Amino acid sequence: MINDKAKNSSQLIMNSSSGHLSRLKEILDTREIGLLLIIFVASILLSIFSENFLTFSNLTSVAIGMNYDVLLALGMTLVLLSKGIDLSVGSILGLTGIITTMLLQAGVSILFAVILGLLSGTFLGFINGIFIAKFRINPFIVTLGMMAIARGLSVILTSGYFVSNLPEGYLIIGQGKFLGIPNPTYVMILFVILFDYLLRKWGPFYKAFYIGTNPDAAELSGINVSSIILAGYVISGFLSGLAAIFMTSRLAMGYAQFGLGAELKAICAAIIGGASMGGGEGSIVGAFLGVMLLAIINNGFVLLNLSIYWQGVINGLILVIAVTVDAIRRARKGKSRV
Amino acid sequence: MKKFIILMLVMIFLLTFVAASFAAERYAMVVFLKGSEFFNWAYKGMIDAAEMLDPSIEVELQGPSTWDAALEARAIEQLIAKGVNGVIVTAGEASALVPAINKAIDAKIPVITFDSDAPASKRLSFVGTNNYNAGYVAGKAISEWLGGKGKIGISTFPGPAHLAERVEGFTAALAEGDEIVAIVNDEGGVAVAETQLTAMLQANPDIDGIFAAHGNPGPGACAAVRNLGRQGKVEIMGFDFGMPNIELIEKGEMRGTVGQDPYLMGFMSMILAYNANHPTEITAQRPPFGHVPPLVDTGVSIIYKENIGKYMSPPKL
Repeated sequence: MINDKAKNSSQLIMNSSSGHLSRLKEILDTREIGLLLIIFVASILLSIFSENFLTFSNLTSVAIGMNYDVLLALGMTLVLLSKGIDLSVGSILGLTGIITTMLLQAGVSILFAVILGLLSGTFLGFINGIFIAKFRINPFIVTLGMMAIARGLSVILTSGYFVSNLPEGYLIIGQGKFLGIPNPTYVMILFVILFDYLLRKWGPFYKAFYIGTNPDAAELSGINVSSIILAGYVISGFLSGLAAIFMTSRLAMGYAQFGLGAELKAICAAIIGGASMGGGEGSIVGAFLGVMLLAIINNGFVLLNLSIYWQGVINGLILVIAVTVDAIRRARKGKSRV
Repeated sequence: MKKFIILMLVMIFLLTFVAASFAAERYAMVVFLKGSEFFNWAYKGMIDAAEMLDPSIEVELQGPSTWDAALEARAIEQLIAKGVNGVIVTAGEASALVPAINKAIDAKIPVITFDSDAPASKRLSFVGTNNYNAGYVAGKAISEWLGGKGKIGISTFPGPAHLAERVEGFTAALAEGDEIVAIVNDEGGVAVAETQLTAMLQANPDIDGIFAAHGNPGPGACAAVRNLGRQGKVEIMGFDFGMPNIELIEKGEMRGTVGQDPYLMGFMSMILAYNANHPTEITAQRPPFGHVPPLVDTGVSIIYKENIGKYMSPPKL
């Protein structure tokens, strides 16, 4: 099993250097293409059953809903890669949102409040990372603790009040549009491209694959394991902070319960996109497509007026099916090689 | 001189002791999220009711400023030890407070729950909003807005019984010509509500009314209407009077919101706790306590731009 994973990850890394033909074959036989196909089929079906699906405003509304989830799923993918997990993303989103909006209310300038907000998200991620990477405490425990602490602090800071009356200039960040598309969507796409590139091409990043596959071997081969693990949580914290800025400015308020349950969605999307709880696997584009698939299914529920009670069931089924199909595909691939 | 001081101290001590034994009754309110707008209203109601019943009654507010029912339970235990005459509590969690509440009742201290009940406990009475009725009031109002032929969308999420009750009451109140076109799952959040309601309005261009079954989807509904530029064509009914809802009503983006009555909750709870300590000659349902109904519905009212004033300045305590 571990061997198979190692092969997979090393292949992924070698993709860029191997021949064109084999590379094309590799690409076609990936989780991403499978997901794209499913999304394509789902979109065709939806546009047949509802004339409202393929409209510009509907697709933008799907994109708006995806913004926050994509940012969190990117961080989650990086963390899952190195055999970790981050349960605190939703709470960090909540707390960062509260900090930023309270600073704005206190009269701090928009630029400064945003910078301090992003810094606080990053710092919370850094604390997670220190405990996990340096003190070697189980990531599940550390981030579970951070989840409770950050949420608790948000409630204490606001005592249940909403933080509202934010300056107009701040609202432009999330509510503004360029060419009809909301600003956060551009940032989301930019980050997907950036992280996808880094994960495939940039040494310190793709070494995370080795760490997830076999931490001891990675350590022995001179990889600075703890720094890379730490980096994953720092980035995850930063992205949660960014999602918080977008959410609070788009909705024009800070609220202690923002991001509640977001960690489960992020984990779900990352795993649909190819990440594994066992580490060593994962794809940025895959996570993006995972979020997109869930968003389109949920959009379909609304457009087709289906019962809301089935939504959770269907989301769960998609997760299980995606992972099963991938397991079967990989088992077959493994056999054919022998 | 020294003797004199000691004598004075003893006298002061004795006087306080005597005064304490003649002192008026003490009642305490226990909440979670102490300092929040909602419970400040409730405590103000309690203060006013105590003043009305007997100006010598003393009241106090206890409980954590977090959502921690265990700390509430501890606050009740301490109040029992202190010997208060009655406890008015909102249960942050239905089961966590049961032992503390029962302990108080066993010590002959009346306990009234308000807003959030602990039905499994021995509490004498629950004072709060009947959710079916709250939904019914909202349904009546929105049906009136839309002239009895509205096409309505609802934002809620599956699970909590109180939301199902609100939607049920809402549906029952609608007129013959009204129609519920869609119900979306907002997962309890503002951000999800925005996405879902935007899609809902897309898929059903004829929708002219939205009912937010809880506090969060109201701002999401306003954002959805803004996204599609349908301002003025969709009437939005929010729930609760949190600041974002009040601001949106002031801006005219939201037509109205269902206001619960925390002031009346505190007011009625105080009266019931007092009643419980003052039995009449007729034996009550729960002797040795006095006459107290098991359930009180404090009702709701629809808050509009016209009557928004008092909600803009909640009591600071």
